[in-house]
Amino acid sequence: MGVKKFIQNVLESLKITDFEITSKKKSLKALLSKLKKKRVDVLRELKNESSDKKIKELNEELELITLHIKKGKNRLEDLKKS
Amino acid sequence: MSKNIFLPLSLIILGYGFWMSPNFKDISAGVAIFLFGMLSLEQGFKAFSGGFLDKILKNSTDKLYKSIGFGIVSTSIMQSSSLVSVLTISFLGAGLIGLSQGIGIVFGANLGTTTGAWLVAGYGLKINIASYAMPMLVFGIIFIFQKSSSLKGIGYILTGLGFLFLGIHYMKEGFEAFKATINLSAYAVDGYKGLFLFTLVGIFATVVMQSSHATLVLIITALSAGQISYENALALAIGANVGTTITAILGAMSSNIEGKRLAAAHLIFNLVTGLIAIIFIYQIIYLVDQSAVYLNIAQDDYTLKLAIFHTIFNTIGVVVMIPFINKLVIFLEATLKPKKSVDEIGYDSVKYLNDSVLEFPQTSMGALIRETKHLYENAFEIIAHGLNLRRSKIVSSMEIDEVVKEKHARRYINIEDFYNKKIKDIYSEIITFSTRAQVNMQAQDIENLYKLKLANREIVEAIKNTKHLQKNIIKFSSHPNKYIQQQYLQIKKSLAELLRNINIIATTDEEDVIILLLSKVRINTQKNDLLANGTLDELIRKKNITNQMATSLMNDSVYLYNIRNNLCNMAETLFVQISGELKHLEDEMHITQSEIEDILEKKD
Repeated sequence: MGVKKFIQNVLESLKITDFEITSKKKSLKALLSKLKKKRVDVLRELKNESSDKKIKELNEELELITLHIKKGKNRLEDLKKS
Repeated sequence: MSKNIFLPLSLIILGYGFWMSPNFKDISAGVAIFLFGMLSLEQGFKAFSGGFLDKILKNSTDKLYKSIGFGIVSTSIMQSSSLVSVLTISFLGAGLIGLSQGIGIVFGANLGTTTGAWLVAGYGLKINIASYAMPMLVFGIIFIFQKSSSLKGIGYILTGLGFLFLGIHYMKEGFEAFKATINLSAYAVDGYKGLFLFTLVGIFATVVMQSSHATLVLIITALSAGQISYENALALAIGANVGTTITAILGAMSSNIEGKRLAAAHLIFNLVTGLIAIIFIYQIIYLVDQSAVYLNIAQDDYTLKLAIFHTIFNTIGVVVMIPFINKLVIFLEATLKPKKSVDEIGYDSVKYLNDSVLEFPQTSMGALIRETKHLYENAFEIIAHGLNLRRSKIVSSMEIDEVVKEKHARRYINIEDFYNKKIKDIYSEIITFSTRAQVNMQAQDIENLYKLKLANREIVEAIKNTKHLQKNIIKFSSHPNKYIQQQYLQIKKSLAELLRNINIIATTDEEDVIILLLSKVRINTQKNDLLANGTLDELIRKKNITNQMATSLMNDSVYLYNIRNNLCNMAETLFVQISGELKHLEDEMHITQSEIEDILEKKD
């Protein structure tokens, strides 16, 4: 048995093979929760804003946040499946 | 001159000694084998320095007690305070740890090295150590012939230990046989005279052998054979402690000022410790005797009592010096000053790249990342001043329109001149250093290094593009034609906003802010493309600008687009892909070209 195979077997028996995936999931979840919080803040600001320029900027930001939340969720689903 | 004489003289003396006494030959061979073992052991641990050793060092030095603990543990495991000191100097040189943390590690290493005396005195002399050496050497060599760098490392560690054991065995045998012919203990010198004399001998022996560990083993084996007196052995141990600082001093020669300061701290610490030991020698001897009783060590077991002495006087040194660490740092910073990285005619040079870090891949990478950030800081200054913008205003919360209105100076700077003084040398040093560092790196590191080199190129390209842009910015920013003036002010605004966003990306720890800003910067790059967004066509159609102005604007629009892309690519590599918390998430959250186009289409 090669060294790599041996290490792989040890990792599998210790159930730490998906360490990278677990840490990715954890980071993604943390990022998603921050983005969701940001979306709530931007929506609140939009309600109280009267300047057209500012409203336009906030809408642009909202669009970006929504896009990234969507991307993050999709990626998280993929990771859960793998 | 002295070097030319020293080597042949040493060889002649050794040759004469070997001819006169086969026992002296055994002892010398023992020292040589032991030193070779130390080299092999260091080589073995260096094989791991690219991974866990560097990471542990980085993560376990944030507090003083952790730094000291790291020094103790790592030196106890590796049995080489020299390797730990050299590694610490390289980390300092690369700017990865601070001077006070480095001092903490060196203090700890001094304590850790005392375990060597315990091991040799406790086990090395009491068991047939050579019988363990042979299998270690055989297994070690087999591992060394393997392809895997980890196995090679293990092989070097095993052969290192094997040679250490074998060296101790030969020293022990040599001194035992020596006893029958010559009694060296007849040359023992009593009192303070002997103390000073043998301390100097200890310093000299360690400077020559470059290893306090080897000196200490030699002292212990000679002591166990009764060839030196106990008091003289204590003095030799004090000398070995002072002499060992030479390794750190030599290691610091190729390091930057921080490394030199650490070597000076090491010297001061060991000198102070040695002085304390000499002044209070009789009190410490009394303490050793009391400890020996407490530890059930026989009163005539001088080798173990030497180990106790070594531990006690190093512990006293650490305890005495801990309260003065901050003062020591202030003193060293005041006395050992760096050559100014920006000299009087404004030339800037590298801050973090030095030969002492080349052997350690992670440290080299850390130094290169820091140096690239240094290069970007200079680029930021050149781009901002090249556009006649104030850096302090760009990074403030002031409205960008206001930032653009405030001038940095009466005249625009000469970008070419600044490039030659603040970028060119650093850039070429980074590229040269990367090529040298690459030799010791693994595939993943080499890939990151390639990205880093590209980031450096993007920085340089951004400056060159700014230089091309500057001419027309100067010409049209205050032009009577308000349309062209407006466009060039818009270009300045776009770059000021870009520099501000990159500054936020570089300084924040919030992943969501970084992700959103990078996407925003990418979208704005497309949005500000005058050719694509139709602004240029409209200006020409309505005859708001002349044909010449249109050509200039068209060319400059390309420069603007390139600068934005250069800096955005650089920021993504430098602050996200290589060093940020987001490095493994960036690919997932990266905004694609089609997504940018979708967003821009919706706006239209």
